[in-house]
Amino acid sequence: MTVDPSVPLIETRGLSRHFKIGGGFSRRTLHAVDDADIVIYRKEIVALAGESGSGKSTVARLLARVYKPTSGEILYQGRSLADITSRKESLAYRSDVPMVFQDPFSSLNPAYRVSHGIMRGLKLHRTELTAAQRLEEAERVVEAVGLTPAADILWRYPHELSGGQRQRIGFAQALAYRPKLILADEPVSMLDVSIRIGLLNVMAKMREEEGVSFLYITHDLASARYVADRLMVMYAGNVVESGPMEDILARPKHPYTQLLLDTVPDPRAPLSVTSETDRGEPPKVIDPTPGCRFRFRCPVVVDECHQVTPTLRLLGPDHTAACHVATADLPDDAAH
Amino acid sequence: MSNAPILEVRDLRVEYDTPRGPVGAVDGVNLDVLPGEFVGVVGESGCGKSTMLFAIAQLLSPPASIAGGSVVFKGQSMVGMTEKTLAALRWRDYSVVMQSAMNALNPVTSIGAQFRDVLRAHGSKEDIPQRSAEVMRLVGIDPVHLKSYPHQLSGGMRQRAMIAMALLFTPDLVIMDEPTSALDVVAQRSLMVQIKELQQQLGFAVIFVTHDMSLVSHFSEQLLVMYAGKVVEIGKTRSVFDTPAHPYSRGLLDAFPSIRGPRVELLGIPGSPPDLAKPPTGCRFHPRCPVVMPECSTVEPELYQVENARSRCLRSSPGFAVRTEAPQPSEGVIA
Repeated sequence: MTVDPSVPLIETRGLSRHFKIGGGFSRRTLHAVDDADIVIYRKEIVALAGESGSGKSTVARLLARVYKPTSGEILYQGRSLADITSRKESLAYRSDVPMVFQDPFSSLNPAYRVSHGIMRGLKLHRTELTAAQRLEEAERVVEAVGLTPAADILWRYPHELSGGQRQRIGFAQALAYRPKLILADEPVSMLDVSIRIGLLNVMAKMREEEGVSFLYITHDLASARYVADRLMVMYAGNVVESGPMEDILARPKHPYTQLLLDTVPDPRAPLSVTSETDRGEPPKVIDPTPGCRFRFRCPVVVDECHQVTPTLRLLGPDHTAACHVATADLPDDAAH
Repeated sequence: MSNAPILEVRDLRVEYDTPRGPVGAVDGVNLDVLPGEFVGVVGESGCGKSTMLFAIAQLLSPPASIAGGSVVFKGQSMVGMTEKTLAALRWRDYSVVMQSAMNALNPVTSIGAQFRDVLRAHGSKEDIPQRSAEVMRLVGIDPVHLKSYPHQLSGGMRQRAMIAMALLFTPDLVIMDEPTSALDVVAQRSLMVQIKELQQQLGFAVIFVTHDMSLVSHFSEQLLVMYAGKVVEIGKTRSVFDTPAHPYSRGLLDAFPSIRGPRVELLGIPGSPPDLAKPPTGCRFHPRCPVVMPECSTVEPELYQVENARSRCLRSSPGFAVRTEAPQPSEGVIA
């Protein structure tokens, strides 16, 4: 396929996913993702941040075609995923957009050596390779994620590896498919803090050397800032703010983004324990009525928030937020 | 509030019995906890921090056993105490909050029933429903949830319910084993603030174990950094954060990307913790240490006093500065 760099690698338009809940006669629906517009370009790391239950994992599963969207569409290199129906093309999409899971302790089959998962992927998705080439390729990807000696690691069982090493194997499996976009669903949250940085560096290196894009799903803005170019913040199924990473950190527009920023522990920062800590949790969005979904926790709520659902507005260069109260950057700020 | 420690741990050693011989998981830990004090214990997975907590709480089960040392809690020696005497102390004088509330709560009985079990088993004279409702209110959960089952609560609420349970008898010491690790940052932050508030309100002491050093930075008074079963640095939290003396503490601190300030490339701490069955000779951290010296592999460092902390590093030893012009090690982990 010819590559036009101006066409996003993946783009969603009005992507929504609802789940029916309750018994057979229940009419209640849970809105896991509502009206999400997500764009990821080539060689770009996009962070998707939000609390548990904000719908960020559902977005990853929609992109991985685990779920079908309730409405809206996903365009992959300009082509709608709904048009991809043949087995051959679905396979090709799966190898282009693999997923890396949160829990490295349950995502590798404990009964097989770690080579098993990598080799199976290669056999399925890269049929042009001979057995010897497959082994060579498996060693290459294992080395690419920083595990050496590759020849030795490949023949180990998952229980012989530490959590960080297992998660690297997860990335190696994804890398073996020559992916365009890796959907990394909280890949480091189960790991020790001292190990996390190593994995984030692997992601940065894969982008640099293999040209892979990432959707990095996390609840930790500090780690998102470390690797990502752009940030999207989700709350209760909606994207509430989106823009360049540093821009959002410097000038957060949405009060929820501000709240997320305030909760990041920073040992270098001076001591400031405020009792004004938010105790709320994201609501389960069941049969929503109009209005901002954040209004019950919002410190700057106004009347309008209870009646009108805010949509994403452009408030700075490439920086959008869905909030009635947020104001745009000053003109001289936005000039560049 | 008196200044005598309520918990004194001396030279505590815990061993796991394995077919290859005993493995020392906790090796010579000394710790004093004052009444109402918040003590943070940090270290990577497998450094023995949870084993140490279990040893203090007398919850070890075979193959782990206390191989030496003493644990004195409110003047009573806990090591070798019978189950019967321990039962009188547990929940009433000290309680334990386990790592994942998802598994620590019984999924088939309601929260209220679990509270009732604890109160009955430890002989409460109080009105059970009333006391249960009181502790639920303390942690900010509506008492109607006493009727709820664990799966009906969110992760943060379950963890709060666990803490409420630990406070049923208002103990003097609450031992917490990574209570926040399954939560996201927002819930984590609000839980930490809540623990701190409760602690100030009720005056209990806390031993808080975590692998995330940034979490305790603003909450604990004393900080204990463990590596491979040994305490490598112990001191006032602020002093350990501001001037970490041990290269391992410094590495842990530098493992966090910052949300403010310049974006710098970090390396974390390369390598993984050693196999405790055959720990490295000399300093146990030397194979991963960015500022290792030749003698580190042969000489075993002690805990040396440095300003407001004690550090188990040869570079902190009194003789070191005299022997050599110390190279500036602080840049070792930042690329």
